[in-house]
Parts: sequence; structure tokens; C-alpha cells
Amino acid sequence: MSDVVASVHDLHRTFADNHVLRGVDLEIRTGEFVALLGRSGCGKSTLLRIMAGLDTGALGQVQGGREPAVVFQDPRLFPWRRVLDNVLLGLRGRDRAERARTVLGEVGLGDRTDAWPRQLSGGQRQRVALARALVREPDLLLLDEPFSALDALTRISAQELVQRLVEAHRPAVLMVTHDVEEALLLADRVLVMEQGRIIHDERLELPRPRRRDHPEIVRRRVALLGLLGVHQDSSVSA
Amino acid sequence: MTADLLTPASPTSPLVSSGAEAPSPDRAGQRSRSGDHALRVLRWLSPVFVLGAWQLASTLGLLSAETLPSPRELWDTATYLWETQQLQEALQVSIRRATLGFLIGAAIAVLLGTIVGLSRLGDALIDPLVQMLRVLPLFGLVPLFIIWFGIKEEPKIYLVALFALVPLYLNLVAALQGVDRDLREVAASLRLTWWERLRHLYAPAVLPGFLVGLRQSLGSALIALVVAEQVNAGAGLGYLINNARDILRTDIIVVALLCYAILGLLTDAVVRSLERWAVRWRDEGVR
Repeated sequence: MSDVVASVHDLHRTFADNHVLRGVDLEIRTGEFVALLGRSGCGKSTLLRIMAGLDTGALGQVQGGREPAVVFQDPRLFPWRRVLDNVLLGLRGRDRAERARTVLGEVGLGDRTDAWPRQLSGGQRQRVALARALVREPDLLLLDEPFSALDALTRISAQELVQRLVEAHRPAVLMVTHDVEEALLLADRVLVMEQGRIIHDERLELPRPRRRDHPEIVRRRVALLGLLGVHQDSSVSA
Repeated sequence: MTADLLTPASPTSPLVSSGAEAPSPDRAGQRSRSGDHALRVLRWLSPVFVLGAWQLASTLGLLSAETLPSPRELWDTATYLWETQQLQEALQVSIRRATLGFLIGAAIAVLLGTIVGLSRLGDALIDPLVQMLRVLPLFGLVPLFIIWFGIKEEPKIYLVALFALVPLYLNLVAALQGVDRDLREVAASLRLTWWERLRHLYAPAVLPGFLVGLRQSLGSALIALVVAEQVNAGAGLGYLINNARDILRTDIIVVALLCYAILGLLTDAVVRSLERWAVRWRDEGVR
């Protein structure tokens, strides 16, 4: 068994009267890509924020990554800093500029290092955010619905990019999403959360790159949608 | 190309195509910049027109020199005051008062504003005092200031300081409290040190608001200067005005007032150009 990068045990989180997490247990191992599915308000983003150290009001045991990095739903770049400087934020070490340029090259923005964030498209900005996270070589990469603000075509190439970057850098990944197909295309392990608890935990040992129309993906998609309360006959995209 | 454009990039192709999602070049932006230039030139039209009408009214005898001397006469008076060194001396004294007062006020505003804007405790402890100061009719303090600080330079400098302090403080506090929560979260997730947060997040985020405060603060410092200089001034533009009043020299009064106006315009122009620099990340087009 490989090492545990991050874990939570018996985690509870309450906002006012709202009991958002009700005893969550989770271990994420080195190099593991975990997708966390759930409906809006099920507590999945709260769990991610706690593991990122952004929410310290939870009860229970939390062991975040040694070097976690977060990519949010929106790019959240500093608009007054050029692309390269955004990636350099908080980066230490002598070769930091070189490393930042390399990662920007990997996300396909090697020629836009001097641009202001405003000059980029939404997809390009999200790639800068990815570069900013990856350049610090995180052992735990936390993705909070990172593709949901992108248009459908940009999303496909961004998912491809994430898959390739994760293969190259091998961080453990926790990706929160409400997109079942996305989870099945990218993850080694899929969790489903409902009302503050993890109700389902399954492993996927399918070869990559995966195809949306692979029979196993289709089968699991139907099953997971069922768990989320969406049934085949009510699903438009089926 | 026979391959379906919608298929994700193959392993040999570049990771992501950048052409399809690149924003279109900002042609509209360029056009509006040249339009801005034309409008800037146009702004001179109405002042020049008023000046012409004024000169005409004086020449035709519709406006007596005791009420308001003609622009031509004012120019002669200004030249005379300049050649006899009176204007330079007065300006030097007034600018010194304005600068010292402004620097003191601005320093206090930055110190208090930073504490209040960044700390809720500071807000609770300090903000009520400044709010009290804000609603106080500050010109009413002039007699008190004379009793406390005498009739030399101090009361004038302190009054200017007080006037400079309030707008700068208010704008700085509002700007600091308005710093985007999401970006503060990014700073936390990147584990930035407090110095890095100050340099990369807070300073650039509050700069536009700070500069708005700076402009208001310079304007109100100038108003305070005019009032403060009417009180027992032995030198400066206010002294020039007081003396001219005693000998009914409308022209000197107007020249001195115009000097105040020019000081205001100059400081405003400096801050405006700073503002353009501060938000260049917002305005610079695609290169």
C-alpha cells in the first residue's frame, strides 16, 4: 500500500444551524486521482476547502497535504499582475522564474507570459490557474469544479490537459465535480457524497485515455447517476 | 484537415490549441483611445470661450475694473507681482504650508486607515474617533487652533493636515475593506507571507481607491489652506489677498485666487496620471 497524502476522520462542519458535514472519513494516497461527486449543497466543496486549510472551523481530524495547491471554479488571478508574476506568487527557490516558464509552456501559454489576465480568454485564465497550482509541485492538488465555468469545447481540452499534467507531475488529486462523465474520464476512484456523508466509494481500473462511449464508462455512468437521484429515463443527455 | 476539429488534441499535437479561444484584438479600444484624445482637446473649448467673453465685456465697458479686471489687466498685474518677486515669495510660503500640512495629514491617514481597514479591532477602536472628526465643522476649529498653536505657521499647517486626513482615510479604509475575498483566499492557499500579501494583493488592490482619496484630500487641503491663510497671515497668498483687500486691489485678489486654482489643477493632474498608471492592467489592450 502506498502512503496516505491527506486524510480526514470523523469530520463535522456546521454553519449556524446547518450541519454540512456529518462524519466524513477519507484517505487519499500518493498519486491517486479521486473524484468527489454530489449534488449542490451536499458538502463536497466544504470538504475540499477544509482539506485546503481554507476553512478551519471543522471538528474532527484533518491531515491536509504537506504542500497542497488549489484550483478554484474561477481562475482567481491577480488582475494587476502579469501572467508570469501570477504563477510566481509565493514561489521560492533560485530557479523559480525558469520553473514558472516551463509550466506555462506545459499549459500552452509559453508565449503569453507578459500578458495581463484581462487579455486572456476564460479558458486561458483557468490554465494559468492550473500552472500556478502545479508549479509548486503539490503532493495534493485540490480541484474545486475547475471546468464548470468553461464552455463545452474549452472544457474538453482542459480535461485533456489536466489528465496529461497529472500524469506528468503525479500529485494526489481531489476533484470536486457534479459532472459524472468528467469523474469517470479522469479519476481512479469515485466518491459520492450526500447530505454530509460519503455514501459511495468505487475504484476504476480502466485504461487511459478513456473514451466517453466505452461500455464500462456508460454502464458506470448510469449507476452513478442513479445514486445521485437521476434516472436514465429522466436524463436528457442519455 | 480531415480530422474532426472537436476531438481532443492527439498526444503529438500541442497540449491545447490557443487560436480558438483567444480573445479578438481590441480594435474598439484603439478607436476609443483616439476619441478620448479628441475629447481632451475639446475640453479646452468652454474655458477659452468664457475667457474671450470676459475680455470682450471688459473692453466694451460692461464690466468695471473694480468688480472684475479684464484678463489683460490680470496678466499685467501677475507680471508685475512676478517681477517684484512678491508672487514667488507668497507661493513659496503657501506651498510649504500646503505640503507640510498635507504630508502630516496623509501620513496619519495612511497609518490609521491601514489599521482600521485590516483589523476589526482597529476598526472598533479608531474609526469612531475619525467619524466624529468628520462630522465636526472643521473651520470652527480655527479659533481653537489659534489659542492652542498661536498665530504663526502651526495652526495653518495643522488645519491643512486635518482636512487632508479625512478623505484619504475614508477612501483607504473603504478600499481595504473591499479587497476581494476570493483573492484573499488565494493568497492564503498559496501561503503568501504578510509582506507578499501587502505587496501583491493589498497595495495594488487599494491603489485606485487610494488615489481617489488622494485627489479629494489634496482638494480639501487646498480649501483649508485658503481659509487658514486669511487668519493673521504675515506671508503667503493669503497675506497678499488681505493686503489687496485693504487697498481695494481686486486684480491682486483675483491673481492670488488663480494661483490657488493652478496649484489645484497641477496636483490633480499629477494624481490623474498616477491613476492611469495604477490601472494599466485594466486599460492596456492586446499587444
